[in-house]
Amino acid sequence: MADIALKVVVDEAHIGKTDMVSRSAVKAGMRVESIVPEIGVIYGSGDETLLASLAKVEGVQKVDKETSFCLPPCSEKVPQ
Amino acid sequence: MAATDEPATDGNSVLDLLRPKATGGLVVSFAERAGRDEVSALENAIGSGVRSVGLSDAAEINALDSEPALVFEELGVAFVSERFGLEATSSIRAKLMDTECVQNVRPEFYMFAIETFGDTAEATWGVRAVGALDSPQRIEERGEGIRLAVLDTGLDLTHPDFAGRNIVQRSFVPGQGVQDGHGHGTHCAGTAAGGRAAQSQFRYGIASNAELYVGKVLNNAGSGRERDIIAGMIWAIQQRCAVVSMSLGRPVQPGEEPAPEYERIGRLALQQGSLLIAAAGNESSRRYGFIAPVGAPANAPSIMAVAAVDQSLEVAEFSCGAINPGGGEIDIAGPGVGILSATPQPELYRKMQGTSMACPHVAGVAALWAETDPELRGQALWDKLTGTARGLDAPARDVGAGLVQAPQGQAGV
Repeated sequence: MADIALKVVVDEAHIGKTDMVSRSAVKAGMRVESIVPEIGVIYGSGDETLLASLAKVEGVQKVDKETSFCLPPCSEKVPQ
Repeated sequence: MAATDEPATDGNSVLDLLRPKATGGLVVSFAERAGRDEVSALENAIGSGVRSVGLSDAAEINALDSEPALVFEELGVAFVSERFGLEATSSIRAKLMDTECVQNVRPEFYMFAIETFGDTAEATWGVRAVGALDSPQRIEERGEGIRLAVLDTGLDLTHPDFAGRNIVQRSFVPGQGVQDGHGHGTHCAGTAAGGRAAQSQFRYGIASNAELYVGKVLNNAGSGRERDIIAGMIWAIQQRCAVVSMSLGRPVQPGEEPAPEYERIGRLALQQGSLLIAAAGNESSRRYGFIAPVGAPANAPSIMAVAAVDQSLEVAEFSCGAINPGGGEIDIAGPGVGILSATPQPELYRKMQGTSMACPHVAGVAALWAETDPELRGQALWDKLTGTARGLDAPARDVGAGLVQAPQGQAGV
């Protein structure tokens, strides 16, 4: 199964311990690629089954596929 | 006409955009009421297919749209279809102008609803509608000392209107520099922090002397990873930008709650004296009664969500509304239809529409307010913007506190 881009959101109580939660996520199988300690978010990649398993890691509030943002075609006829 | 190497304009791209738009058809005025001679003259020029129409038939005019030419006998006016094409229409026009009973032949133009605001030779309708022409600061000084970040597709660093500006830049897109290969970012930066069109007095930007921070978070195809956008937001806050303009987002489902990470970053910004301002989204189809919920990240309670209004100060057809609870509200509105601003070379200027265009109007005005008082930062700046907004007829669901308004005083255009 192809890897997916993952986003782990740390719960309020663990925002100051995002690095610690990140290490736990690595042990669970996530490839951590960037950490935003200011808001308790960890980005990385891994198998889709991590969506369920990472949610059980202590300090994790939620796990999602990382979304992307996309503008419409750059045309004056299309609302931007 | 003799061939020439000169471009078919006078070189003023702004004026070109303001000119009336021709349909490709012709309007023919006869010297008198149109009778048999006038119909014959038309047939000589276009061939068969001239249809006489009485005033009583006017209500059915759309059904006659495919006719090559329509003559309104009582009015002494005829319309020649745009379907002949440029070359044939030019020949038809010449023939008609050489006909005795014809008084005038001119291009047919598109007509638009009467606007409360419109572009003038002085400024865009958006700049006028937010009261930026009446701002007490001189235009060259507006926003001075205020750091204003635009997180978007970057900026055309060679655009003449930004020549000489001290621009702090950083790209968060792997493998791409800040140079805007898309156009969206340059347009938004132009509205928020541009000024006058080079070598003219036409004004389209608001905080013309703000310290512009350009964060490229969307690539040249207009898309970006969430992690890069978050990184850009953190950067702008760490750079102590008082105002952060984000004309980006993604649609959300009805009932979907704001993501906690965006609310955290919005709160962090307010604590640090930054105000994050985001486009509400364009997924509504209001003519069918459908109002889409405010998208992310604008739906975070601590991020200011901006709706778009048109030249009549009506909510724009596409503008998202407060459908979801818990932060999915509209906080304020800005001009977002028919907005002229900068675009990368060689085009230089173009008109665009969307809440992406409304957002930088609010950001530019926020910078003007921040300049008036060093205490106006974070939540205080938010409160000033919503507290001074102009109330509109549309409900708060669609426009929040109303149309953003710049500080008023002696005009300093």
